[in-house]
Amino acid sequence: MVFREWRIGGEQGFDAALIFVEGMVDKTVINEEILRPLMFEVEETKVDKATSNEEFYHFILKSALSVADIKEVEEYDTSVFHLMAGMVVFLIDGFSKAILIEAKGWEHRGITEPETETIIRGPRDGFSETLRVNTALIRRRIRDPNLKIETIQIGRRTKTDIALLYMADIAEPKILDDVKGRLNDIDTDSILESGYLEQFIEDTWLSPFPQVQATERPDEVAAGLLEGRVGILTDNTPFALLVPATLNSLMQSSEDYYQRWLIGSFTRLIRFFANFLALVLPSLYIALTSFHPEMIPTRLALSIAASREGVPFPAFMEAFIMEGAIELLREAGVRLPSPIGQTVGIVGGLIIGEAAVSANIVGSIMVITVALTAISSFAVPTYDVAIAFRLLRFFLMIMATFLGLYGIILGLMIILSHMATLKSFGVSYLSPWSPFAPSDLKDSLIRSPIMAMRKRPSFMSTKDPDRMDVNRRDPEEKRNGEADK
Amino acid sequence: MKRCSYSSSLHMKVKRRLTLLLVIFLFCIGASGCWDRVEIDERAFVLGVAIDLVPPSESHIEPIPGQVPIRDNIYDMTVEIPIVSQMAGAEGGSSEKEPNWVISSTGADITEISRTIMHRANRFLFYGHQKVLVIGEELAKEGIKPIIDFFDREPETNKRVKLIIAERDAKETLKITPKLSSAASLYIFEILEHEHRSSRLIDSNIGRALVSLRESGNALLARVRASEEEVVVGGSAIIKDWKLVGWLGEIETRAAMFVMGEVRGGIITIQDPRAEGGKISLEISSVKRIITPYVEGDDVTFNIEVLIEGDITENTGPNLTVSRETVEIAQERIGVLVKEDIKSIISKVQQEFKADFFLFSHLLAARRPHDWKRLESRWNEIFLKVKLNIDVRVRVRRFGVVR
Repeated sequence: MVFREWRIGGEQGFDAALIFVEGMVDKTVINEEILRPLMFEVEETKVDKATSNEEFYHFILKSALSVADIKEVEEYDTSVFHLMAGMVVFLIDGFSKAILIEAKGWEHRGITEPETETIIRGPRDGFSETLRVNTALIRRRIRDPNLKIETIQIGRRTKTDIALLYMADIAEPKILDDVKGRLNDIDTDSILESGYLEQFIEDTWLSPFPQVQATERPDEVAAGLLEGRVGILTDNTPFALLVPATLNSLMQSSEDYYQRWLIGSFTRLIRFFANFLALVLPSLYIALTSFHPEMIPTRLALSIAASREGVPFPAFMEAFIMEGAIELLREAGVRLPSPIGQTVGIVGGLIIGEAAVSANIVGSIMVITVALTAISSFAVPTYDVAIAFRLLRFFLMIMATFLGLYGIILGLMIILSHMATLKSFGVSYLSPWSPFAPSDLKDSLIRSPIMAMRKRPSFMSTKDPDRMDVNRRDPEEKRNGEADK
Repeated sequence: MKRCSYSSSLHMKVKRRLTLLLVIFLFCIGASGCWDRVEIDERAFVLGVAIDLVPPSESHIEPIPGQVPIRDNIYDMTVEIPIVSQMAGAEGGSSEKEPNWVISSTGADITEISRTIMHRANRFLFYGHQKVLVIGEELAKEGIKPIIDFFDREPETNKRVKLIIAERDAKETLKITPKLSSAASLYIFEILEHEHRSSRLIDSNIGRALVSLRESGNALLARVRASEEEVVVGGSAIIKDWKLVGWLGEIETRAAMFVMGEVRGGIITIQDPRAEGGKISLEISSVKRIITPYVEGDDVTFNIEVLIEGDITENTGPNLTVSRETVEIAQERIGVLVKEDIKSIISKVQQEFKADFFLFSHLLAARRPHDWKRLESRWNEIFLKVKLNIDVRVRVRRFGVVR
């Protein structure tokens, strides 16, 4: 905290002070735009000429400061709050008001490529830690006055800035009110990351599934806003939240829309398949080898039996050991600095796997299963969903250990019925499959041609349901028509 | 304060629900259990089973004192089990040792022998991957009904097991060492799976054979004969009232399959109509059989129409090209050949074996339910007098490419 005191306007002037927090203000602005004019340009004559003290104060306020954003406050608490947020407080002796001068400026990370959601085609900018930079990234994508950004502070001590983004003429008011209500209901001393917010506003905290979509990508948020969803940006974190979230939306990558539709659909199908594999593959291995070997083709059954010859553990132990090891490797790889992380991956994945097989601790088919499962789970675009399914994989493995294939089916039914009961801000988690909305299937397992998706998702009950003119002709058809003339 | 009480009641509710779930889960585990869990490496995969009859003079089983002797027949069951540690890929596997274990035991019923073998083999016998069930000639003549029951009842065996009758001893077929397959059972199974390439052997799945056996006790099953290194699978065995009554040769088998509408391929060779010594071979590509029953009083007539389509695969006559006339003559001759084959097999079945394995009874029951009800009780006699109008038409679709 810096207190700079001096006398303004010479002998007949007033005592004045600038107060600001070191490191949160731009020193050049203070030196060049505040101190310089106040010290050298406000001469004694100005003070003399002023007929009253009030007039002098107004002169200072209106004409002396070459800074864009200033305001007056009278309350002590408000000025302290703004001081903590990086404003400069300007006090003049004899006046019961403080002038707040916007001179925020601090060291921050630049805009870099998001690390958790990399794509091949598409914008490379990701959110950073500064809220205003982040809102600007969205504003640059949607130049519509209907894009509303409302800022509130949450956290009794942290007073974190939260920006609520929505399209005023698209978003369903009920959802919007719901989001606002839940945000205003939060009573906590700190919001350090948007994950805090997510846990405060989600519908069912007992569920393993994320009911709020977290993303680092501004294009993803912009697309969400245009679908009628509400974005929540939190200061000090690059992770924005989008609500409501459905399983479908969490399985999508923004790249799906940038690629041509066949490619987008193909990658989406692969992703769903990979997710399914990641969920059931190890439990299938357990169920088939210990309960239903008649379901495996004869030659494969024999080679599985051969690979397990001499393995001292039952299949479920084998599976738990290997799945546990791979989770261990993954976690270690994340926590370690990235060059070491890769080494751990290679040492763990290749050497331990190979050694475990030759030491007869696990069968080679199990190693293949585990490797395939791990790769599949990394194909899911949203980390939160991937880890939810990874957790459920262990649940299914337990079910398979006790009940075989029947247990897997039972487990899948439990998971499915749980997902069907989930709601995110009034929207069913399994939309558009349940409740079934045929018109929204265009953007689910497959990604239809962009011309076919003329309407926004119906389950969002948007105010403006049309993306484009519904009656417009297909451009290709139109071009051909003109050529015929 | 209100907020606080709300959240604590929520916690209670959740806790109660979780406890309930846990209890249900534990009950699930306890009630259904995991006792039928057997690790895959603790199972002995039975790939093939061969069952023979032990001649009464050789059976040494003493009657248990005080118990009514129910043991009339003593069976000799042989199973083929692959030794997985000998397989490629397993640690310490070597190709010099026998890849399979063929083990025999005797007893009065299949379950008993199965248990005896299990005790000798230190593993659970697992029939889920069984491929063949071979029954010896002597046993088949005595009747296969008591043997089949175990495999029918056992939930592990699948319905694709091939039911085969062996000439002489069945166990010999499992003792051969095939060159390209890892086990004799797989070898026999694969031959039968390719049945449609020649239609000279019958693909007798136990599931399908049982339909016919349960219905009438009659069936046509595949025939197998073992030599040193190979087995010959071809022709068929005729089962009447669950007993083996005779054999059909390969051509006869094909003719029977024409009647049953099961021919899907095969080669028919005729003399070249243009010149002596030349031959024309037709490979059947599709066969359509249309069969229509006509009933007048006790006279039953079947119209059998067989439409054969095929390609000429060989033509060793003097002319390289095949003219339209030649094709037409060839078509007619092939038709006549097939018709004669069918006629002779039907008369053989009606006169010699006197049993309806073509399942004409099914057909009649489906198409003429009222007549069938009337004739059902006397069907065995009526079948012998059934008349057949056979019409075979052949169409050559492709002549091959000549360079």
